[in-house]
Amino acid sequence: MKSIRETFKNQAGKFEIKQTLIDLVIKEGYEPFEPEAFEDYISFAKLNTRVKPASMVKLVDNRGEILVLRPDVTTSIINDVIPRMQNDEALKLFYDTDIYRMRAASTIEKTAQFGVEYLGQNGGNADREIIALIQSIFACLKLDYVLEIGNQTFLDALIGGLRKTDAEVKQMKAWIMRKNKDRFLRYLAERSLQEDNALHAVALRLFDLEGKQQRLRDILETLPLNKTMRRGADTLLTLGDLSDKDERITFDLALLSEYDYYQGIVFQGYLPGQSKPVIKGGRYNPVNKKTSKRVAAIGFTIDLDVLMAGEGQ
Amino acid sequence: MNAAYLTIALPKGRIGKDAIERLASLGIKSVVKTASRKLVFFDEIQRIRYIFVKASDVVTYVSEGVSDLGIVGKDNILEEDRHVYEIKDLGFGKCDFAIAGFPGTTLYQKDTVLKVATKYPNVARAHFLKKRQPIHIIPLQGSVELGPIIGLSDVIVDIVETGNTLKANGLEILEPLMALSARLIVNPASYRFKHERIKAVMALLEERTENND
Repeated sequence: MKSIRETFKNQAGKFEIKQTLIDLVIKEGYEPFEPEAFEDYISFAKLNTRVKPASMVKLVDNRGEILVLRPDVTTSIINDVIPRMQNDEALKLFYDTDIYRMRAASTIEKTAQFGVEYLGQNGGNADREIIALIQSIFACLKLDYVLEIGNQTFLDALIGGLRKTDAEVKQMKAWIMRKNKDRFLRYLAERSLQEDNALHAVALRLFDLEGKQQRLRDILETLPLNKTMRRGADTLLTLGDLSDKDERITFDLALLSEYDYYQGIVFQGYLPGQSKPVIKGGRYNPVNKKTSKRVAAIGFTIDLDVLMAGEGQ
Repeated sequence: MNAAYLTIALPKGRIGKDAIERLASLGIKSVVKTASRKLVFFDEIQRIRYIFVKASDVVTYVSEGVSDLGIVGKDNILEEDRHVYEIKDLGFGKCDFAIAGFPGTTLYQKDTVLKVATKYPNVARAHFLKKRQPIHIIPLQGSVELGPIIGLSDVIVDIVETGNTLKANGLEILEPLMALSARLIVNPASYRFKHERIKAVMALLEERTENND
C-alpha cells in the first residue's frame, strides 16, 4: 500500500498538471463550467446508443425516475448550456471534473477528466484552433503523443448508405471500432450490394484510408465518393498542413467515436506505453432544443489519470 | 511497453504452435526454443520480444499495453471483452462456440434456472441474457464435459473442434453459437506508435494466410 506521503505527492502532481492546463486554457479565453452530477437515463441512452447500459451507474430518485451518475460531460453541455445560448453567441468553456462508469464485478470506476468545449463557432478555423490547442498542451507538458483524426460525417454517410437495419449499423460500427477489417469485408461480400456499387467500392478501401494527407488524397481520388463523403473527407484534408508539419498527427477515416453525437472531425490521442487514449473529442454540433437549430460545437476531454501515468514514464 | 522492442504475446498450446509456423518467415524459429521452459525470447536483430502466456491472458497483456501484438483465439477475445484492435483473422485454430448437453435437453424453459458449466462465463451470460433464460453459472477451468455427466450442470458452453470428446461422453451440440478462429490483436496505442512495424507483421501474416488458403 502507498504511504500517505506518496499519496499526497501523487495528488500534488495531479494538482500541478491541472493547474498548468487551467492556466493554458484561460489564457486562450476559456471559462470554467461545472457540469451536472446526474443525467436522465432515457435521454442519455438515446443520445449514446453505443454506451453499454450496464456500464452506466444508475440511481432512482424519489419520483421513480432513473438517473445516471455523470458518464460524460458533453451530454450536460448539450442539455444545460446549448439551450441557453443566444443566436450567434460563441462560448469557450473548460471543466475539471470526474466521470463514473460501472465496470466488471460491479465496481464503480471514477475517471478524472479535464476538457474544453468551443461552442457557436463553425468551420475549419475552430477545428484548427482546437487541434492547435492540443498541440500546445502536449508541448507545454513536454510529452510525446500521437493524435489520430477522422471524420464522422464521412463514416456516417458510408455506414448509413450501407445500412439495412439499426442492428446492422451497430454491428458494422463495432467491427470498425475494433479495426476488424476481415469481418467487415466478409459482411460486404455476404450481402447484396448491387444496388450501390459506388458505396461498396469505398467500403472495401475503408481501412486503407489512414496516414498522411497525400496518401489519403491519392486513395480518395480513385474512389467514387458521394457528396456527403466528399464533404467529410475535404473537411479532414483542410487540416492536411497541420499533419504535414507535425509527424505526431495522422489521419484515419475509419476512426469511430464511442459516442454517436459526433459529426465532422473526431480525434483521439495516445501517450507511449499507455493503453487508454489520453485525449478524445470532436465536432458534434448539437440541436438547440429551444430553437431547433444546430449549434456549432467542438471539444475534447483529457483523461488526467492517463496523463499522470504518461508523465510518470 | 518497451519502446525499442516490438512485443508479441503468444499463447501456450496449439494456437501458439500454429502461430510459430505462421511467423516462420519473421525468423521466430531461430529465436524461440519450444522445448525450453523459458517464457520470454528476444530477437535482438529484428528487435522483437516474444512472450508466452496462458491463452486467456493474451488479451490482457495486449490491452494493458505490455504487449504490442498478440495471437489468440476469438473465444478469449469475446470472453475478455477488452479494448484491443482485432486486425487479422488468421484462419487457423478453427472451432465453434456451442451449447452442449445430453440429447433432448431443453435449453429455454424460462421458469427454470438452467445450470451452465463453462470456462467462458461472460460469453454464456451474454447469450442466455439475450434469450431471457435465467441461468446459474458454474465456472470451471477444464474438463467441462464432466458437468452434465456427474450432474453438476444441465449444459455446458464451450469450444468444440471435432465433437469427438462430446460424443465419447454421450453429449451432443444442442445449439451452435458461432464460428471461431485465431486472430491477430493489437494494442490501440501501439497501432499508432509502431504502425509501420505492425503493418509489416500484418502483411507477412496476410501473405501466409493466402498461401495456406
